[in-house]
Amino acid sequence: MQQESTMRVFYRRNTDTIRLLFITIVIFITMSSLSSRFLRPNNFLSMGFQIPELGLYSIAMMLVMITGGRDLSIVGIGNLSCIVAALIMRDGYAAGLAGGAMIMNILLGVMAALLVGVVCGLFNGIIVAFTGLPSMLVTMATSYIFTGIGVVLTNGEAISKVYPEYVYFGNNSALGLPIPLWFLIAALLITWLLLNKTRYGFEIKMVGSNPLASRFSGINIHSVLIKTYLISGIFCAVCGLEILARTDSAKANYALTYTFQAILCAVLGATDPNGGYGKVSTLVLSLISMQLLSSGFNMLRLGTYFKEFAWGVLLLVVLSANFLNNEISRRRYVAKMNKRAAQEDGS
Amino acid sequence: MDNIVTIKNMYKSFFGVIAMDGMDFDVRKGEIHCLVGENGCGKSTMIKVISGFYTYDRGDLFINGKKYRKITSAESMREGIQVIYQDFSLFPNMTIAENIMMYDTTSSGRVMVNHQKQVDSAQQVLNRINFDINPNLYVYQLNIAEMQMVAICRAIAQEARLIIMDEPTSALTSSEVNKLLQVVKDLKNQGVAVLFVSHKLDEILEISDRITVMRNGKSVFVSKDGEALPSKEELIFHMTGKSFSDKRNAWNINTNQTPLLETRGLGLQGAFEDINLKLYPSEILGITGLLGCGRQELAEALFGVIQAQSGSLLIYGKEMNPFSSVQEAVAQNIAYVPEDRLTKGLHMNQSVADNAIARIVDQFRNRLGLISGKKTEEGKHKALHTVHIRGMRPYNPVKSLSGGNQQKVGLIKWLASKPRILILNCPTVGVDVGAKEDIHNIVRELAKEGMGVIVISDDIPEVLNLCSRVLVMKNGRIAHEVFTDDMDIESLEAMLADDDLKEVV
Amino acid sequence: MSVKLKSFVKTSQFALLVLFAGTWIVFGLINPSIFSVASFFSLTRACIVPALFSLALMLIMVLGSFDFSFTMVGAFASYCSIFIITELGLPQTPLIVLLLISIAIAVLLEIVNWFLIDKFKLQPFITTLGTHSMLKGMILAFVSTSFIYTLPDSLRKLSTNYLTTAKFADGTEAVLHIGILAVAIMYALVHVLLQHTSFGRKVYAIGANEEAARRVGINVSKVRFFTFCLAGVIVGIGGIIHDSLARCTVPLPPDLIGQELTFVAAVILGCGANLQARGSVVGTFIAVFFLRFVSTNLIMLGIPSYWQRMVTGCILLVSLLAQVRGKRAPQAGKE
Repeated sequence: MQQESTMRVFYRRNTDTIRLLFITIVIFITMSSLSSRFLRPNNFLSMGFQIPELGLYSIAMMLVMITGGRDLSIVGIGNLSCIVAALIMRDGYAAGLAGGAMIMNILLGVMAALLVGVVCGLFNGIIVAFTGLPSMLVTMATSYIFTGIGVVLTNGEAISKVYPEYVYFGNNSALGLPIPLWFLIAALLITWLLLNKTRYGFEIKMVGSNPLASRFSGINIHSVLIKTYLISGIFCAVCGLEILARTDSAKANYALTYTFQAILCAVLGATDPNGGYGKVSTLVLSLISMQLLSSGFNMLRLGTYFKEFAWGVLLLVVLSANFLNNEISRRRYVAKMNKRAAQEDGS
Repeated sequence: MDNIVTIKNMYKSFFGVIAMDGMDFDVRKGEIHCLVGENGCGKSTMIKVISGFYTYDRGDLFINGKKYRKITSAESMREGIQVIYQDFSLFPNMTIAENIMMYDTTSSGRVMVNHQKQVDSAQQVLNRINFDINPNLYVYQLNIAEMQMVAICRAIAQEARLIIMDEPTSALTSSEVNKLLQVVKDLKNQGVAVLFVSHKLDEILEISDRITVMRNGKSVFVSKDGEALPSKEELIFHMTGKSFSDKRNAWNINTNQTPLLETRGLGLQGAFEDINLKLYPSEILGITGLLGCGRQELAEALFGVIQAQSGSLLIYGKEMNPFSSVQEAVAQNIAYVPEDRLTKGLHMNQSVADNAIARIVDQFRNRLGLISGKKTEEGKHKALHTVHIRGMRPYNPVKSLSGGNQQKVGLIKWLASKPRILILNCPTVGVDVGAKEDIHNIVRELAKEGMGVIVISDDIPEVLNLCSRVLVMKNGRIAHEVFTDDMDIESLEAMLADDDLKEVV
Repeated sequence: MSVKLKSFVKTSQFALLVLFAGTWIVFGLINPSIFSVASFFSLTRACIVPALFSLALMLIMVLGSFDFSFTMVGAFASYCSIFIITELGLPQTPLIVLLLISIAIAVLLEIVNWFLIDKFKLQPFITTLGTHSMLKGMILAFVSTSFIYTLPDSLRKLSTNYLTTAKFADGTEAVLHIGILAVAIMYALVHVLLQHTSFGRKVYAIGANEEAARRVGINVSKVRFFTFCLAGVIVGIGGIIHDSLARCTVPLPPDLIGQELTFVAAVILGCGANLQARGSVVGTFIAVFFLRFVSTNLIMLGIPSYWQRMVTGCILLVSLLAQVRGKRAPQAGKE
């Protein structure tokens, strides 16, 4: 192997992260200079409360994208888990449960929500793994099914009024950071461990980049796919629990735009839409960037409509930039190879 | 000049891999010309240059007497050259008539499609080769042989003057093959030239007017006009070449031990039958035969990619059913390096290092059960040093390496898991001479250390170099078993050519 | 001729027709008013807009591509067209002008989609998800957020323009809206285009095997371009008709935006998703009617209307699973 300076190696292995860090810093500087209120601690605090929802959904989406698929049902799973937990806790609260009984009830709600995540995730995973149908179509259908179940359970209304003790977790800080943010950090750490420190994490990248070669390597593709959708489902359920804690309400159609935002966040975060590559560090930076932009837009009073427009444009810009970047390096590579071949011919 | 295609001294390389190395070739009007050569000799590249899919680096290309520095697919088709690819390029969701007349539809400039006229024209073409089938059937309803006929009809409908068929008989039964050969003869009678690329020497000898043998990007033999065609033995001799080193295996195999792998009566309908073989520790066993003899399927069955239907396996003396999945084979410490590293062997977009440790990731766990980054790095370093790969950057994607180096990475991946049985399928296809030697040396070292190796290859000198024992397969059965000590190339080639056994299917 | 009939019988369109007929009979037995002409008319009116949008999506899917933004394109084009005319204070504008403006905008937007998918080779689903979001934001942020209840005269006339009427058992009337003619004409045109012109053959070819289509000399980019344009024309018209029937125009009509799955389900149900799919116009038509019939009459089975979403999702899932037979070895869930 050729010896390269450690600096160069570091740069080449982490170009994505460095590039994204640069972008994040630029966004931060731009936003701060455009609005004086941006740098206030209140702003950062509120960002800290908002970011975990997008964060958890983005992690779920990123995992599925690494396998080369798309999961359009993440918000459906999230809302359904939220609803299930809310129903249990609302009835408990209305019955006046307190003390130990209240804790049992809350735990029951949490378990139920997680179970919903598991079941929905398995449902998606088994269908995608065993039928070979495009995940986009399958999860499009299941998103309607899960959301539909949510609508049925709630009669189309919002469920609210659960224990203040539970809601506490969604609206207060601990050790200086919002509690939901701690959950996000934990989720990111777990994902990082999964992707970098387990055999599963290794296999998921292989399956995403070449399923056939993975099969020939002895990787059980079905198992990898099912695990992925299962884990994704669990993250969505956690997100649902967080939504309940923060907003004290559960709706079947809450924040449907998160699906798109999660895809954007993953793609901006250097996840390859074709599968085989995804990194937690870049996802974090992408998350921060999107949150900074979102808050910045709010400060500049640009409205939700403008935000939606901006997200759409941003996605197209990122995808196009990726394409152009690949094209340029491909052409450079071909030219280099041809030059080398010509030299060898001449010698 | 009466040639449709003339190629003089043509060179073409891809990213440093030489595909055509001074190739000369020509096809005359109305002749049946067969192109023979083993995997990786450059046949497909030359065809793609003729059909306009690739450009060539240096040399001369004349089509119908016109010189072309660059030719596009459209120009090639206009000159009357039609290629029938191995996947036929048909549209399953349209009828036979629509497929046959597709070119007419797309290029005539007419807006409306007259269905009846389409069917009539298609019927005319079908009649030209006596293919009796309802032109209103959809292509997805057809079997492979019928699809091939439709593909040929489409070429004829485009008034082809030269039809290039790339391995047309690989998926056909013998009666379908006969029909195809008859069609090829009919075509010749109608003045259409056919370039027939194939491995099947019987068929080639039956219908050729002239034969060109290609090897390592060059033409090594062209049969002369008017002279009798060469014999099969001669052909094989030209195909596989004479170069080989004198190294042979210098150690003895103790056949009194339990074999690492034994098969009893292994069979798979349509592929192979009654396979009984034994592989001993430290043995390098060769399996060879012409394309279609069943060696490919046998290799995959031994690794669990496909499941044999009858017979049993004995791994180190323990009897078991044929593997139903790759995981089962891997659990028995069997490793398989496939012939197609591009799609089956490696993850082209992942780094060299990641591909190298793909199978042994589990070994780098620390006490917590998680994978230790430090151990992984050490493991990558160690794995990549087992085999010398010049100029390799471990974190670059594997697709940036040359063919030979890619093959080495594929080997590294499987060797890292320390298998007891290693199956190599065409290990040095598309690999340059230097890397070939390296790979052979690695295999010998492994065998010396006790590994059992099965080498499946149609490269006769390679088989003789590496293996102490060779099984020759023909038509799905083991036809001969020879020891390489007292064997030379000519005799082995003669065995590949001999005709004794009848067909299995 | 009998070969054609026999092959039709084997198709999924025939199965769908049988399914529809069966469901119709079952529902009719529960509630005989379903068998009435009035009921049929009112179903037809509800199907006009979905039929048009599904047709546009079908074209794109037959080509082997996908467009998530088609509903937004239609809504955007139509809203802008009416908004411009209203702002200019020209309520007398003839229908044809409104249509042309809407079509022009829709076609332009689809060309943007085409460019990204064809020239930049971006994945169709994610890309059109991006244009969808972009348009949603654009219309509210840069055009207007107002609901326009006073439509130009020509559109108001159009909304009450009907061919004939029929009465329900209880005396209420149902009309057969003229919009059904538009549907019939567009479907007929697309049918002829796909089945009887060389352009249509090329579209099928690209959808079946893009590489093979290239090899046969088809200019894939050009065919794609015109297909996307045609889809733009159809949704441009569909948007105007939608607004006319709704008697108002809003930036984000809820029966279009967010209902994309229903149209996808119609196309897949009607055409199939595997190799044998020929993208039949007839199939799409039947599927649109069937889906709408089921969802409007769900209540008859004792299923409240807010179950609609779930039922549609189930139908799509079931029809996907039913077509798995034709598939080969599973891939890693790629798009």
